[in-house]
Amino acid sequence: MKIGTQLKKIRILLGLTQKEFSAGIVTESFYSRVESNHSNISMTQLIEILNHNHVSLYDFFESLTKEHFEHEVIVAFIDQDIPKLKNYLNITKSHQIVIKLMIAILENQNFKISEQCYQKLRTYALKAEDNQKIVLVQCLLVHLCELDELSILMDKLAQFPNSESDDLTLRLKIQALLVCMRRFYENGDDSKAIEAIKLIDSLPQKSITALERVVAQYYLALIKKDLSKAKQIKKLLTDMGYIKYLK
Amino acid sequence: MTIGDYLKDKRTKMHLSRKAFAEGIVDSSYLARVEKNKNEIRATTFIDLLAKQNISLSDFLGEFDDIHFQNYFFQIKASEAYVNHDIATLDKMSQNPANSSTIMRMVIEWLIATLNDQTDSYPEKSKAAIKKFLLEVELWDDDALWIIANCLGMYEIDEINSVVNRILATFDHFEDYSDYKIKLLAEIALNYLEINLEYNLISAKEQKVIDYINQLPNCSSIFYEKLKAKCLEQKQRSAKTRSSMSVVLESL
Repeated sequence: MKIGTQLKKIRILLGLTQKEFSAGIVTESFYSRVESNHSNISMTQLIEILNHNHVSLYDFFESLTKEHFEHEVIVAFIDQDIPKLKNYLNITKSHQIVIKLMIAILENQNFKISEQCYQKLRTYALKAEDNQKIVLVQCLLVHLCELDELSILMDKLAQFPNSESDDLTLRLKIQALLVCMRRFYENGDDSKAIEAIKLIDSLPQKSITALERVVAQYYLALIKKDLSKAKQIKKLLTDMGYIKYLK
Repeated sequence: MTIGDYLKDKRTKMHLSRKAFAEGIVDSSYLARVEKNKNEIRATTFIDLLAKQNISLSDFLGEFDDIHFQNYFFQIKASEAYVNHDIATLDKMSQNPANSSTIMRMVIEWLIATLNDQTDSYPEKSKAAIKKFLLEVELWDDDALWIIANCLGMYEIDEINSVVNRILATFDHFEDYSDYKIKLLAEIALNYLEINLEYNLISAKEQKVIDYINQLPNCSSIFYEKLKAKCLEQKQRSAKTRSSMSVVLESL
């Protein structure tokens, strides 16, 4: 990111002239050269200009921050993108445990984690204040817990306030519910699977969760023995290259 | 806290000498003066220093950002309100003084006008300002893409084509893009198709955009856009057959 280019973009977004934007903090001619990336501005002056114009520093440095890094890791997990997760493992020192866990879950459906690790996750899910983090851990736990625990987890997910969820939290929630649904179905517990599907249906309907809702419809069709509908959905997902999401 | 204070604080917490901290970027005596607030440090140098020591910018921002108004969350909130026909929220957002960006305010007003079916009375001046912004900004980032996704309806047919062509030509390195960016690109492409295919049949222009959507990675977040695009394509080919796709789409 070039500082000058970014300044210009933000200035134009605000609808201001160079004179107005630089507001006497630096000379107009200097500011003009900074915008064209011909001169270097000091950090203090940069912050002063941004503050004067009520521009969030986060917005300014957005392209440089790894703010969205956690977001991308979660999305990679949802998209079952193992290569991407492995790549993130190499890039970052933090979040190693979570990423490794995600990879293990995606690669091997039958692995088990140590009791100690499991308890750590459970405590975290209870103590964390950030909704998104809680749902993320629940999303991991539903893969790892025993079936009786799964019911309890599903109830906890149901109690989560929908209105406060941002998109990512919503996606995590629906992912967790899908896992519950799948596991109940595979264990012959149709009524619990249907309960999960009902919970999915009750979530806000957004385009970003369309795929998950289709997957839920697929399993509903299987349970109701509506084989032609299930076949239809399966064909659709295959044609569109989305078949992996049924596994 | 000043920049100098911040750097000194970080350096001492890491138990590094000035020489070690600044090595390869500036010399230690210069860093000493910066720490004592006797010299200014270039923004680029500051960023390089943090990067070298693996200090995340978020850490720095946490100390210095008073305003914390983030375009990203603003956009998410606005988009959600729009999809939910929540004119009240959009109204509040457009009047909020914390949102000091004129262009963003105009976009919100356009969304309100669209929901109220009053796009005819939306001021031409605002349209011109938004279009001008998009032309002047050299690099279309996520903010610009969000604006385009929401304002395609403002453009005349010939103008739209140049905007969309630019996007198709510029944004083709999907592996590097964030999920949010890919979603925005898919939304723009789909909005274009919905506008153009209302009365017309698929021509080369629309086919290019359909191909573009198909080339986007198969992320879960854009399944809906891909499905809808495929449906539009099928509808044009054979208006009679009600494909499995439209059945699934209708259930969503």
